[in-house]
Amino acid sequence: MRWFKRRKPSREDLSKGPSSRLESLAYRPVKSLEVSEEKLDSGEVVLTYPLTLRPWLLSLASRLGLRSEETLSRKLQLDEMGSLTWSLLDGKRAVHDLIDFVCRRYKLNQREAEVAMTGFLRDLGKRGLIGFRAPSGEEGEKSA
Amino acid sequence: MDPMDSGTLESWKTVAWNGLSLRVPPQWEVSSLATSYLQLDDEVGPVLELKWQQIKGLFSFNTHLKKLSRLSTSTPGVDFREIPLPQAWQQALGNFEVKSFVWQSTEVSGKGAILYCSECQKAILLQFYQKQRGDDFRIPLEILHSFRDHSEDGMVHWALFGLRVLVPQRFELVRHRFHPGHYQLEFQHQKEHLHLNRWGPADLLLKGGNLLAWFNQKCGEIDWCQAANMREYNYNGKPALQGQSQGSIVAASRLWARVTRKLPHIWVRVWHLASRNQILGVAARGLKPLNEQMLEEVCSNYEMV
Repeated sequence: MRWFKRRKPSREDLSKGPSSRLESLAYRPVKSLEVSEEKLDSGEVVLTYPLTLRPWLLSLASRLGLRSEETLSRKLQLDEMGSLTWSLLDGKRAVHDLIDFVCRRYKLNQREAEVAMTGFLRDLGKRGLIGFRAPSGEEGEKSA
Repeated sequence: MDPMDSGTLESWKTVAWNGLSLRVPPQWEVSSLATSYLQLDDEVGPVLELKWQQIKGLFSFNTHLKKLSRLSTSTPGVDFREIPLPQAWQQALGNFEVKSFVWQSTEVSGKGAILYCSECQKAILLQFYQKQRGDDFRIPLEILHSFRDHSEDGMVHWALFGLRVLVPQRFELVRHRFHPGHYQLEFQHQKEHLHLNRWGPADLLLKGGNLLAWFNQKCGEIDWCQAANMREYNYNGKPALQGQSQGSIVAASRLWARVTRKLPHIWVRVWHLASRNQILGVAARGLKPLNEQMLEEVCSNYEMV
């Protein structure tokens, strides 16, 4: 049972986000400062990032002596294409730049590259590994 | 730049799906897809929607227009009405019986038509979305001129997301999948199955290894292909694998084959299209001997652009 009703996003909240696909693709992904990366000999990248826990679970972990950096972090190994995309996230390239790059590099159909790239970035965003910077001229930074 | 310049008209691309084909501006892309449904979007949002159905018996325009009208009255703020068919549309849709309509809501409006083809008994609902008054009326007109709802030569054209192929009309689409990295179309005619696959990017999948090693690892996806005894082959100068057999290693099929005393015929060809960095595959199985000439024809008309 829910104790609190989930707040519906207001019109104001919605107006802050991108209003069209074109606008969404102009956002610039930025790496989280809390993520550390390690490059394997194969060229693939392993990301280590802190695990976000609910406060009560965090206090339980502390009581059980499980609260150390190692236990509260996760690792994610990216494949070749993911590692290449990760290396391109510099906060300056927009999502559509990344799509164009992947399209050219792997000779992919534009739509296919777009679906793959947005899916990958959405997944990174959900894990808190990246945020999105609004296109130049707009203020504010959003998490995925 | 005027999108209707003759130069840019040449850059328009063909979208063909399950019997329907039309030419659209290059920036339009399919955003939603079902066996008898297509939605195309431009950079901003939906621009064209198509829905079609095979009709058995008599077709009534009034019934379908009433349905649309009822749908619009149940949606607040939408004004729907039937309009006389515009003269220009009449010329473009000369092969069809047509009724046209418009609808208007606060932010967007639409103009569409219900078409009925008496030759193939197909009814089609199509509508163009208009976001602003200044939308170029020549684009819908050009699309309608290119619109076809059946083939004349018994081969059905499929063209989507860079994939192009011609498949004999008797095959019906039973499954499709367009995931990044793997496209799959599966057709069936009676007990005959035809699978078209496209995997990519090839350089990532092969990782310097050969096609056979990759295929042996990959063929779990179409497990009956394992029975095809694949061997390396040169297909029009492209590295390829080909195999065929009469038998199946899938337990259920083996049991069925034992009960019916019929072993399925299998034919598989996979080739590496280095120029597009993709791997294409055609596989077929059936209880009767397969028509190899037809399969050769499918392979020769299967490409990525």
